[in-house]
Amino acid sequence: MSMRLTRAQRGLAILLGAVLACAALRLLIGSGGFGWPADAVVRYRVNAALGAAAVGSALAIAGLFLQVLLRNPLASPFVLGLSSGAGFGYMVALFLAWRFGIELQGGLGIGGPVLAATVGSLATLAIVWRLGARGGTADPLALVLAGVVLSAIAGAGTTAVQSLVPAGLRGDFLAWMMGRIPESPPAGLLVLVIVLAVTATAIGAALGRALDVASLSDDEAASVGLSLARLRIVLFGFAGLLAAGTVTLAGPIAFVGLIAPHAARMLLGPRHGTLAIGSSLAGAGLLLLADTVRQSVDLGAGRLPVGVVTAIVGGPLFLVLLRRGPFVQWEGGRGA
Amino acid sequence: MIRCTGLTVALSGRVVLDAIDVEARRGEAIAIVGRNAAGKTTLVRAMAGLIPPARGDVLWDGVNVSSLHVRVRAQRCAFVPQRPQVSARFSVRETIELGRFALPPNPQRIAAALDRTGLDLLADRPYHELSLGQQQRVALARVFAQIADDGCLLVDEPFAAMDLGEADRCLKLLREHAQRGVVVAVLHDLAQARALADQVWLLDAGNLIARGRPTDLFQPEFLAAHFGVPFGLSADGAPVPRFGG
Repeated sequence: MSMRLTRAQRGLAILLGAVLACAALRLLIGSGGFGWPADAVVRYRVNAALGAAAVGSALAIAGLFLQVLLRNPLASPFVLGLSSGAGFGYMVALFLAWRFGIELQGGLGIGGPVLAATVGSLATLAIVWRLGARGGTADPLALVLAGVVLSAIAGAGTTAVQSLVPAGLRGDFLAWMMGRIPESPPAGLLVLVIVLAVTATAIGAALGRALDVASLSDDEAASVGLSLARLRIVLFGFAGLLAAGTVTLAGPIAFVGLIAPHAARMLLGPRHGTLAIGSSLAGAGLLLLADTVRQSVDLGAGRLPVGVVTAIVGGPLFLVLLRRGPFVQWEGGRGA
Repeated sequence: MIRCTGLTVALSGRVVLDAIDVEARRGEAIAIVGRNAAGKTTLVRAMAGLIPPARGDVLWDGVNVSSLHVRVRAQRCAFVPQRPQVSARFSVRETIELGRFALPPNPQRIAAALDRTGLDLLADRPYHELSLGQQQRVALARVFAQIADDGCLLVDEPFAAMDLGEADRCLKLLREHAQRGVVVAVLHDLAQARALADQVWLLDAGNLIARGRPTDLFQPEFLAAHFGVPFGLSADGAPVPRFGG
C-alpha cells in the first residue's frame, strides 16, 4: 500500500531533517576542525547547539506571530525594534544590579534581566504599534520605519548605559551587541529560552485556525467569531517574552525571525497550524547553520559573532524578498 | 431582526450617528444610501456590533448585541466591508472556509457558496491573484458559507468593484437571502438600491432624514435636491443621475 504525504507533512519532514543535519554539523565542527570533540569539549558544543536551536526557534515563532497579527510581512523582533528594546532593558537591569549590589548570576538571578528585557521589548512594540497602526490596520512601511528609528534609539541607549557598567560585569559587550551563541550559558536561562520556544510553538500550532482568521481585517475577523484584541494581547506578550529571552541569552540577532517564517511558508503553504511548527524548525535550522558557518570561518582575529553571519546572509535576502518575494503579494488585490 | 434604538456613535469624540431609530426584519432587504460621510458605514458596522454605541442600543432578536459572545454573534450575523482584506496567501476555497471559524466544518456549504457565487472554477486560485471585484465575490461567498438562511447579512458597498454581470448575480443572491433572512446593504448606486431593497434609509450628516419604499423615496426632484445632481427615471422607474446635465 503506498502512502502519499501531504505538502505540509513533506515540508515538515524536510525541515526536521534539516534541523537534525545542522545540529549534527554544529556538534562536529569546532574551532579545532571537523570531528567528534574531546569529552571535555562536548558539553560546550551541546550547549551551543541547544542555544542556537532554541534562540532560532524562539525568534522565528515571535516573527510569525508579529507578521500575522500586524498583517505585515516585514515584521520580526529585530526589524520592529523589539530586540533592541529588550537589549536596552537588559542593560539597564545589569546597570541597576551593579549600582545596588545585587548578584545576578545563576538561579533566580536571571529573572530580573529577563523581566527588564521583556518590559523593554513590549514597550518598544507598544510604541511601534501606536506610531504605525490606525484602527487596527497597520501600514507595513510605517511600522518598519518606526521600528528602525526606535531600534536606533534603544541601541544608542544600550551603548550609553553599558559604558556606566564596569567592564568585568558587562562581559564581551561588542560580541553580545552583534549577537552570539554562548557555549557556557547560565543553565536556567538556556532552559527558559527552550521552554519559551517550545511553549510558543505549541500555542501557535493550537491557535492555527485563529491565526488563519487573523489574516482578515479586524471587522471581518470579529464577524466570523474571533476577538483579535484578546489574541493580540496574548501573542504580543509572547513575542515580547521570546525577544527578551533570546536577547538575554544571545544578544540581538538579525533577520532569523523575519526569514524563517517566509522560508516555512514557501515549503508548507499559508495554514498557520503547520506554519507555527515549520517556522520554529526553520528558525532552529537557520541559526544552527549560521553558527556552524561562524565556527568554520576565522578571519584572523577569531570567530565572528553569529549575528554578523545572519545579517550578512539575511540582509540581502530581506531586500530580495522585499523587492519581488511574498511581500508584494500581501498588499491586497490587483485591481479590477 | 435588528433594531437600533436611539443609536448614537462617536468616533474620535465626534458624533457620526445621532439618535438613530431603525429596524430591519426577517424577509426584508434594506438599502442605506446617502452622500459621503453621511454615516452609512458607521451605521452598518454598529448594527453588526463592531462599534460600541456612545448611547442607545443595538438589539438582535431583542438581545443587546454587546451582551453576546463574539462566537455567538458569528452564528447569527455576518459583515462584509467594502474592501475585504486577506493578508495570508490563501486560495479562494481556503478564504471561504474562514467563514466557518466559529462553526463546525461543512464542506457542502463551502461547495454551495462557491457554486452560487460562480467561483467554483476559481476555487484553487490564490485569492491575491483575483481582481477586486472577484475578491468582493469571495467575501460574499464566505458569509454565505457562514450564516444560516435566516441570518443577518450586513454589507458595505458589496458591488463597488464588480462588473455589471457580477453585480447583477450577487444582487440576486442578496435578494434570495432576504426572503428568509435580513439583508442590510450600504449602496451608492440608487438603481442597485431600488433593485435590491424593500426599504431605503437615507442618511445625512449622521441623521436619518428619510425612509420608505424605493418607489416612494426615489422621486427625481427629491433626489436632485439631496444629491445635487439632476435625476430622471428609466423606463422601469429606476432613478438615473443625469451627470453633466
